[in-house]
Amino acid sequence: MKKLLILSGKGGTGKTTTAAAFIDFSKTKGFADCDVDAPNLHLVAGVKTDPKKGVFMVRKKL
Amino acid sequence: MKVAVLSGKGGTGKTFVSVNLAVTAKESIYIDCDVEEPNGRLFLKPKNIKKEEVFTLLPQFLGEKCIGCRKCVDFCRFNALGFIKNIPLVFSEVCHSCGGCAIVCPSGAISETKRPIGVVEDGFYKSVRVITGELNVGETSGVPVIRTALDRTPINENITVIDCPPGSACTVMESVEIADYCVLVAEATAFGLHNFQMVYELVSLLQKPCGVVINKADGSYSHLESFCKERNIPVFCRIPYKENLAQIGAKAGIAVEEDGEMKEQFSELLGKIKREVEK
Repeated sequence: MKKLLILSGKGGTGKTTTAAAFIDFSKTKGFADCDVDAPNLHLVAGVKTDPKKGVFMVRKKL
Repeated sequence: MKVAVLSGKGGTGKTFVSVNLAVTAKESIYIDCDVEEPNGRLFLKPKNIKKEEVFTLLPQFLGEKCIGCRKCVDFCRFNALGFIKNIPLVFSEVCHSCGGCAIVCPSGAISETKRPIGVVEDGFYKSVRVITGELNVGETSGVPVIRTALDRTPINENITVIDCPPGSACTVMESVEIADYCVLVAEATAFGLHNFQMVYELVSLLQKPCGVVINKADGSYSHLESFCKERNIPVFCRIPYKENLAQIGAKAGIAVEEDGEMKEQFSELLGKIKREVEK
């Protein structure tokens, strides 16, 4: 499976918009929003079903 | 008075608002805490720059003194230390430089060394002092660079504008911590609203008073307006989505110096922020 990475240094330059267009054109089976601080891809990528949510755990020492 | 300018989404206009606020205030300090991609200096073009390198501390093992007790490994919350095949290891990218490992080591096998991670520049544009934090490419955390940049602010009555990084994680919290007031820049779009809600949650959590500047306002976006109204968040101004502003921005010009309307709008904005802070 080929993986395409979309990035830019500056914010607001169109990473999400470009990704959404590629997702639509390519009819891809999977995509990931790695902008975990401010994720927006789900708003434009046509995600219509409610996502399954899981808590991301890191090991915490007591 | 310290004002932090933030927005969840990138490219919303944090730097635009911060730079123009600082220039409007004249005797002011502008601090660029967006250390991964500091752009404020492209507009302000500061002169007489003094540079200071920023270091972080990293544990260093004196191998022969290590007794292999693993106390340091167990102590490190960030799992930055390992003891593999009888050799102590440091994973420098995850080390938070707390120095705890050196304290818990019973045999004095750990000392700390400095590692450069970025630079803070300090200069002037007219009467605006311009401080810029810059993180080296590939580093995990900009927090020490932000801390160094903010430490340079003198305690005085002049307005300090803190241009925050995007998002709502550690670096943003570090930038906002010393602020008396937060200006949230929001874009009148679904993206803008979604990320605005995230930073609003953050400033509420930190119990900072805040107000909103809607940027690139092309007509009204009712979801954003009603979100603010329901929560009594003051909307200070709506900066129009205009071609000439985009042109000024694209050539790194300062809008309040080139556009009469902007000059008026920003001096009004500064007045409103000052009144809110005094409340």
